[in-house]
Amino acid sequence: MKFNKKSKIFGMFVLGAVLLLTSAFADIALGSGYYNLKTSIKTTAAELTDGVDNFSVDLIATAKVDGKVFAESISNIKYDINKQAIEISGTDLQKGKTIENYSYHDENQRIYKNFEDGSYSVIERHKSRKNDHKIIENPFEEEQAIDAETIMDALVGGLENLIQIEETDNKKIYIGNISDKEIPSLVNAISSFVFKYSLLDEWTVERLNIPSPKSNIYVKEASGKAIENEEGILESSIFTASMSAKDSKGIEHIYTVEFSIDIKDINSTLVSAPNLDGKEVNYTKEGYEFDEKFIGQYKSNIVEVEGNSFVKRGERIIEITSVANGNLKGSYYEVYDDGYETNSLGSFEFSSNYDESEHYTIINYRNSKGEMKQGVMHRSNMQDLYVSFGVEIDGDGRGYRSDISDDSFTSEFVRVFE
Amino acid sequence: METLKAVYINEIFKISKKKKFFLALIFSFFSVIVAAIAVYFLNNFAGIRITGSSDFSIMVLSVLSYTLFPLFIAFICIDMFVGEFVDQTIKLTLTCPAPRFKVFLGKILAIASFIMTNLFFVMVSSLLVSIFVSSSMPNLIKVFLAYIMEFFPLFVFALMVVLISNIAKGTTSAFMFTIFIFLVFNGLGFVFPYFKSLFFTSSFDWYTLFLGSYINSSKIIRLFLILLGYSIMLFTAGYYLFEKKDI
Repeated sequence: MKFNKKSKIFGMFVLGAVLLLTSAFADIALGSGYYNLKTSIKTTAAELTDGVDNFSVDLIATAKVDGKVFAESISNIKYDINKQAIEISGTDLQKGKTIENYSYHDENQRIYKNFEDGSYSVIERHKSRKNDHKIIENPFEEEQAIDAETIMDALVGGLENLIQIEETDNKKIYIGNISDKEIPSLVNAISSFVFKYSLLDEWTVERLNIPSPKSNIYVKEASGKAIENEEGILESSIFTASMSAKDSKGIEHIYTVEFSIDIKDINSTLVSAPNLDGKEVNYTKEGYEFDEKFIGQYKSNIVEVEGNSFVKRGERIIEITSVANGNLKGSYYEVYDDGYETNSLGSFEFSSNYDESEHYTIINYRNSKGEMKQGVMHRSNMQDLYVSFGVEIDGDGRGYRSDISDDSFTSEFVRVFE
Repeated sequence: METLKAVYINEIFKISKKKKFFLALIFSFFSVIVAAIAVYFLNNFAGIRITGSSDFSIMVLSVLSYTLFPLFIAFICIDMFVGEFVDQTIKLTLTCPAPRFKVFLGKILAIASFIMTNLFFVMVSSLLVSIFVSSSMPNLIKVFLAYIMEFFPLFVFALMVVLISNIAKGTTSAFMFTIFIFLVFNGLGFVFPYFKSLFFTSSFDWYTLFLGSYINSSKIIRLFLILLGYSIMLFTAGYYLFEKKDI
């Protein structure tokens, strides 16, 4: 059988195409350690936010200089997805001092422990709070995360092949090590820049009392290990990274950070509020910005410019006459010099309803034209008020804007002491 | 074989007489110098060792493999094919007793020699410069291996430019189309990183697979086969068009 030239060329082209496509699709199908690990992280996030009832996380973050620990945070976090409850206990070590912390949150309350005197603070949640915030969200469902993932995939480049996968006892173990010789220049330069100017800037170095990285900064090594269980959840992960840098005296130091995350007791974690019987407890209500001590008079000067000097023309006065369970009552009026004309707000009485907003105190009043209007009142300093009248509250209740554009109106009202 | 040798020597002679050949070497050398100055200043003024403990030569390779190397390969390939057809000098070559396949192969071998020369020149100059900017002794074996491996994806790129040169009618259109394909391949690899094995431009940094403590041999073999597949396809398609082209 004899082939002509055209057939030979065509045959060679087909051979090349077959070789290319089979190798490329084999490579895509096999994936890399990086893509397998990424899939595992996504599975873990999805399972822990939607697939399980409860679980615990042990988290340890340690920072060292030349092998000596200068900061450490150890936390045990218990999640109950059904009850939407979370309990955090842990210790923080900074400058040789260990600080304990404890908190408990659920849909109705937040509890904090003060370890100095053993007392507890209980904050009752605002009744109007919409319970649409989960205690733990899947970060990979956020739009930003999807975009960040695409950028991350592109930046990882050749490093994706550094992660190896081993399988033992139906568990997958992801191992990755990178030494100073293997770190790409761009990654090294960016990491070193962030390390010097963002992570360990002059202020942080002074606060932590550690040597300042001045010159010859580079990534020394990074390594990590993660274990995926039979259900595809990453049950244990550790990560270590070291940077080398010289201080102002030219002495080389090794800065190391270590992270360890263990996910355990899936569907067997019990999250419960602490027993407060016999304990000293301070009860407060969330959003109770004002209490009885705010009953009184507050003033704001009406000032205008005359020639090249400020001249006081009058005063705006707010009187808070009662405060009960976060509900305010009071009045507003203005007094000014005879003959002075201003964009007066008139005088009116106002009241607020604690349940109306979880973010700030909304006051309701009827203006001089008889229209119902709203205003927003905040505490300012320790004893003063910050007030906006004629506001329009945003649909989600988080923001507002005022329709008062009078330059002589200042929102600061100062407490009057007779 | 003698004919092929004669064609090859002729093509090498033509390349060596091109200004672009010397420009490629001069620009490559200046790139190395600029990189050295940048590394020196970053270390001395910002305190950042941009190359870490890795080799300066590897850093230079990572930059030039996406910039100057493909640019000058495109210039030379376009000159050797579409350029010769436009200025009719191809007549001198094709009227020789050598068959068209040997002419085509001779040109491809000459292009391969140009790529090797450029890589070797940059490797040697960067190693010499690294004496002044790097505090540690470079790992000569790994540097040599990295530059050798970089030849393969650059050669595939050259074959792609040859194919485009045999389609295009003019040098400008060939150059613009080459740039377009290069950017599209890199863009697709960026947007669809999971499928980047399909695009040979994603192999431009495959030499990093040889630098680490862990050598992923199966990945290396797969990538080599992908580059081989591309080479065969582009070579045969390029030759087919070259064979059919009228003088």
